[in-house]
Amino acid sequence: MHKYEKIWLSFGTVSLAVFLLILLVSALHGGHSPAASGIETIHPEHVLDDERFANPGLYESDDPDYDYDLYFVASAFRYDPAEVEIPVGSRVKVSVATTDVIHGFQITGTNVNFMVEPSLVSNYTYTFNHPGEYLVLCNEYCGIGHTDMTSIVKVVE
Amino acid sequence: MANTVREKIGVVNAKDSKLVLAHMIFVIIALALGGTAGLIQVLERSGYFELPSWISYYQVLTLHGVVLALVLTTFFIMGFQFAAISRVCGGLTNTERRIGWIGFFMYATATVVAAIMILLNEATVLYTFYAPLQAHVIYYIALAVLVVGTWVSATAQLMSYFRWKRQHKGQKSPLLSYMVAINNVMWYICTIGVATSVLFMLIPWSVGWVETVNVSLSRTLFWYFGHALVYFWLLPAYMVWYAVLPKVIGTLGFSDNLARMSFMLFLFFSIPVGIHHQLTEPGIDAFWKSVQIVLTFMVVIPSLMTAFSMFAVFETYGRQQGAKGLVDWFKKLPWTDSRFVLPFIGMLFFIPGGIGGIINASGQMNQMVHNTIWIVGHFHITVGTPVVLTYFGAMMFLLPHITGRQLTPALNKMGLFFAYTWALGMTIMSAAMHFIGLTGAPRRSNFSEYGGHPIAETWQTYQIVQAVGGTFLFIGIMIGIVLFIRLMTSEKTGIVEEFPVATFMDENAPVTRFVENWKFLVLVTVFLVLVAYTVPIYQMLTEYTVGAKGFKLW
Amino acid sequence: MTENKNHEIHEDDSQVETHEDHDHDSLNLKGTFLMVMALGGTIVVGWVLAFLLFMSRM
Repeated sequence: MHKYEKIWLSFGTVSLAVFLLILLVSALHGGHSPAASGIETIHPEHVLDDERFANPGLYESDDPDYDYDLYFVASAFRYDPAEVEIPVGSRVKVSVATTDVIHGFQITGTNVNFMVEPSLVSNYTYTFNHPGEYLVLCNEYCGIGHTDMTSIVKVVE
Repeated sequence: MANTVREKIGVVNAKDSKLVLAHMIFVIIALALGGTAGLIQVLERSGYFELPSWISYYQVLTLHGVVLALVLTTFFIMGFQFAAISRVCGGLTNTERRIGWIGFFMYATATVVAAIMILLNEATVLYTFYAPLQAHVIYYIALAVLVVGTWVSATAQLMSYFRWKRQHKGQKSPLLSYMVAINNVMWYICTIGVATSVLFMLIPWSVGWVETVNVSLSRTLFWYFGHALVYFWLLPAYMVWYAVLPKVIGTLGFSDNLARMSFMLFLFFSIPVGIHHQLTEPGIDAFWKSVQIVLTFMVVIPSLMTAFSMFAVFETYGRQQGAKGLVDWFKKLPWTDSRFVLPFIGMLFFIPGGIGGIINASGQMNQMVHNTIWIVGHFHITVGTPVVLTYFGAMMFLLPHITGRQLTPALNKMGLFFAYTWALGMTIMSAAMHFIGLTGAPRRSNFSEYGGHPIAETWQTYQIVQAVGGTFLFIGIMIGIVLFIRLMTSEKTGIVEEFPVATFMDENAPVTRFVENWKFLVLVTVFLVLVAYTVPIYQMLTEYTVGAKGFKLW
Repeated sequence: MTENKNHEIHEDDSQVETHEDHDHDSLNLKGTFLMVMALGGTIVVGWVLAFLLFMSRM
């Protein structure tokens, strides 16, 4: 192999390794992993019998690792709750389940963005550091009313 | 002088040409249909165009995705691979050709059936057909037949390659035939995933034999196939870049061995990475997502090798033509030859395309872009430009070659127009998509004001920009359609356009031993797949309690 | 500069092409090196910008 190609491939490989290292360190240090990872199952036809999803919304948490639990129900074609207020700086565990098909769940302008699938609960813990009114929308096609699925997350002082 | 490679007669014979031509006709029809769908989409999303009541945005989107990303690509790849194998291995035998025709009829019929189902609004499930949205069983059967048909054609191509090797024991196989073999072996291994999902899960479920389906498993099997699919598309473009383009330019290829090695790496690392399309999904442990992220980063490396080879070829040619400076060899390249310009523009777009891809694969960073219109921008500057412009660049010589015609200067000029119009349209459209994707604008979405939220107004502005870009693209497509028809029907001049195949600087060097050891290649590939997928799939089979029923929500 | 030793190239494809191999190390690939390193730099810059955007939203 030409010596320049050796240098180029070494540089490329090392860069990629450094990217991975940065991602690993930041994930461990920040206490976050790719959104919704892990396996928590739920019966797809009994989502609304689960007390978390029968009364979705923001609740103070008993867990010392975070401040609030935020429960959302995704269904064709709405989110429950339609609006929620969160105190700025709160660490919130967002949990979403679907009563029908796959939906997306994205709080636009934040890093909260994950899939919601039948038979599973999606969990993601996130700190809402920046005040504002954020549009929540579905970004996975779920049928004809797909773009009607919205909610609002207000992060308030 | 050991191992001299002799190039045989450099044409695709008349009988094989018919098979290739049949494929190319479908490519052109697919471009017209899929391109029209795309135009309708950008116009609808601008907010200024309403679809008639008898067709929905999502039907059009399904058509666009299936016809361009599944049909156009598959037909071109199979046709091109038949042409390449025929060209360098001395022609197909009658048996091989017959098998090829059987494969063709299978996926041609399946395509027509699938298209009808989409137009009948029975399969408005988009090109990924995620359960538990449930299409009509005929649609799933059509998809299964399409895939099996490609296995049949791939078999014919592999038969030809292995026959050549038997008949030329000890000799280095023609590079294009090796590359086709790699692509087809990769195809066999990765399509097992989607075939399993369709045959054993979706068909029984959609016909009512089973009530529920394991959604997570069906998605994972799809993406096990779905990422390798993009390499199935990309590798034929690389075949042109490595093994055709140097001859088009008028010089030698850089390294046959390095080209083979890069293809070997693609075979290994294209498949065990599907979960990087599922990074924000529940049901998969973070550890296994990370394993596949690391494997994904490794598949970047053969593309880095390719970049070096391409520049090396360009520079060597430029210096042969007298260039003395550090970068002025660029000017010596054949900028008026559309067979070069089309793939070259493709290469240019692959720079932001590849960078975007690395960002997409970067674990938690994926949350910034997942399912936003950034992703759509990304794949339009990867499959939508590097891949298809290279395909079109090949068609500039292939269409006249297989129909006994010449690439005339007038048609060549049209090819250049085509290239520049496409590049302009794609730059405008894709840039707008990348930008608003970062602010959260979703993909797979018709026009919406999102309840009046201010951010949606920003999105609409950029969607108008996307409509402008998409319109230029559509103009390009119309030029392309006319061009391709003319390439096949223009007046014969007596000269037949050549199918250029490069020879390499290291033509006489022996092939690196393991690179063509098929037992080794398949073993490593399967091993990596097992490492990457065994646990996640095992968990999906054992930890899930209840599956999901079907829904038809369109 | 590339040295073409015993090099026969026929424009007419139907004839046989044979040639001695070329030595890669004798090629001037400084321009290639510049281009790929520029490409590598662009990749790094692009990735870092994306990472910073992601972190700013954390």
